[in-house]
Amino acid sequence: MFPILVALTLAASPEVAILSSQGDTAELRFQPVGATELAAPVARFSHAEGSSVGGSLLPRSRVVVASATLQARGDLSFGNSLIRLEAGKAPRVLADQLAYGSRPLVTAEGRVFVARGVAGREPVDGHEALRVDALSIDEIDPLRGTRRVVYSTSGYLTFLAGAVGRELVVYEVAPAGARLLIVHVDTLAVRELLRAMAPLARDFVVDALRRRVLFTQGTPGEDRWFVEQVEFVTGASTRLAEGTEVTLLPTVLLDGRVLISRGAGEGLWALDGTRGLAPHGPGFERILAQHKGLVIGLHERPGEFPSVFADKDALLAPAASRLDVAGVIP
Amino acid sequence: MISALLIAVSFGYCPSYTLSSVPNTYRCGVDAANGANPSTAAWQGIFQLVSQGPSVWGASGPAVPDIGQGCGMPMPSTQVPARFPCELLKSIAMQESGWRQFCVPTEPTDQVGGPSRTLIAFDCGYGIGQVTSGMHIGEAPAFDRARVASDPTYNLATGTQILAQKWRATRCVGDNQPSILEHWYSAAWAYNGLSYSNNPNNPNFSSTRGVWRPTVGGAAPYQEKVFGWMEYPPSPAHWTAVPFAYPRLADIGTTGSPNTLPEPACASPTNCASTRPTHVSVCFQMPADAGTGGGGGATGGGGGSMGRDAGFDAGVEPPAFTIDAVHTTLGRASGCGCDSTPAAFVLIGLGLFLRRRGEVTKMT
Repeated sequence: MFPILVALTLAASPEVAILSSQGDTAELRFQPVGATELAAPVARFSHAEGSSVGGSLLPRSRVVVASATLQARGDLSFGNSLIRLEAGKAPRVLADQLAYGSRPLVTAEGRVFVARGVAGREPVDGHEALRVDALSIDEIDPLRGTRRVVYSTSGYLTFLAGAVGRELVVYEVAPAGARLLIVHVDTLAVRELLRAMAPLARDFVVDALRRRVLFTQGTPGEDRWFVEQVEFVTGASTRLAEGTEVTLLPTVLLDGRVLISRGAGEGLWALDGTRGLAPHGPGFERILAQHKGLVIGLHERPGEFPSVFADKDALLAPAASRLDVAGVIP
Repeated sequence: MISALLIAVSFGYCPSYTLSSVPNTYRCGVDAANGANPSTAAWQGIFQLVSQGPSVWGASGPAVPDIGQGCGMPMPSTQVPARFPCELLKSIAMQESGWRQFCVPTEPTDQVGGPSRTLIAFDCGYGIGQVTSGMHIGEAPAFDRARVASDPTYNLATGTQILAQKWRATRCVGDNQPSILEHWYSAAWAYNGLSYSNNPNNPNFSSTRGVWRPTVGGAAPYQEKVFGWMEYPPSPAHWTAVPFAYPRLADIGTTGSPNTLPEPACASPTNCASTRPTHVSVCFQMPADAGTGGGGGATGGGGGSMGRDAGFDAGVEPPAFTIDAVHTTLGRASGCGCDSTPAAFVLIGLGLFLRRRGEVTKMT
């Protein structure tokens, strides 16, 4: 009787799509929350030694699109590939020349976008300027791998910060400076949300429901970091929090509360000073997925392998592995 | 330009995209040469020799013009013969090739199997230093391409030629002292390309990543991988760990190029709450020609890899070394062919003596 009850309980539990990589091999598994055994991998692929693997679950499916460096090379700038992973099928490369270390962005509609590029010419000797690359944001058909350019430019970086409906939030850094752009994926219209930013922004969160963008921003030359909130329509900017370390890790809960990190081993705290998430150890908590009231993320320790958590509990994941949470299956 | 092969922890992997190989799609222009990879001990001698620069390696490597020293904080800028921290060379070479000039190819398919020959990455990175520039079909660089493929010492020396170019092309870090490991931060970045993908403020890199560990891996700027190797060597026989001091994130890359950087002091590339001193290369603590046994890749001379804290702040001239500090460091040292503490004391003492006489000012 008892095993049946356990099985029924687990069957009702959400499953977390976990990407893990060890050495030169990556795996995808769907780990039920609360399970006491590690789920078997449903897909596996080889990549360059030590590559990080980051991905996103396609909504209403058990398909994950992941980004990894498949082949070692000298210039890794655009050395990542996009791979389709699903149970029972061989992994398939959908696109290449993705930005190194980048993750694909999957919208609520299930459309897939990636940051790609082609390296520009190296500066000539004695010229110390950064290299300018040809950059683009491309839509990739997750089934066929066909590609459509939705935004292109030349510069240093185009970073997919998130999406509100069919509008992408793109953080761009170029010789002229850094800015936040809104790119409509169908009309290809581009508008500038924020200009003349310090090129120190990171850890973006796009709160589509409340139409706002949050991120950590730095102060050039100073140990002063802020959590900035930008209204998606007006571009009005507000500073929500500040600290002396870059690891503020802003996140927005489904109920609208903003949580930030106060430092290693401190967990996450709401802006009103109440604790939002207890620490899972001496490192940092990064929330990567939410399902109803459940928050799932990584406990990250600098220089060490992370672990996965679901609320206050640890979630089973391969040990001694680089990890990512690609999404949650209800 | 060089090619980081990122295979250092995967020693079974050995590409050899030689000129005659059919899958040679990047048009690698020089044939692989047969050869046995030097032993770890032999590599130590090669690193020691090459770190001393062209004035010592002579015909064993290509010519390398003088490099700048000093940035007015307080030392005025002058041109000095190029020398390189051996700790930096060892870490770069570990990141590039896992200290391999030769190995038995595992790819491409038409090259699999013995004999052991030049490691050539698919994008034409050759040997220990993964030298790429000038190595494609039709290119005619100002160095001997065949020797890059066949001679470990020449290959490594060619890599330092590129590193010296990058030192000259990037802005000062601290007082721009070639002897200080941390002052090579921007040059190491540029060695892999002055690209934004190596900018530590690139949001594709985790803000919690900390010091890069070879056993953990993951995405990080190239130079952080090099300095991660420096702090976490493969074994004590390779070099003694150096806890590298990083520049502050908010100081880096806020313009279109690596900024002029103050003296690095952060214990982590992403966090400056804890600080560290900078480090003087052990190779600069002995006479320029000490401990080398000549070129050719089989020397057994004393390569030093024992970093020690520089222990001075920006704007202050490096003090004379203290015996206590050196002794502490040597106590941890091994594997460089110069692991005899008394012998090292003699060399360092000689260096100090000469330095005080003003005869080796280029070493500071």
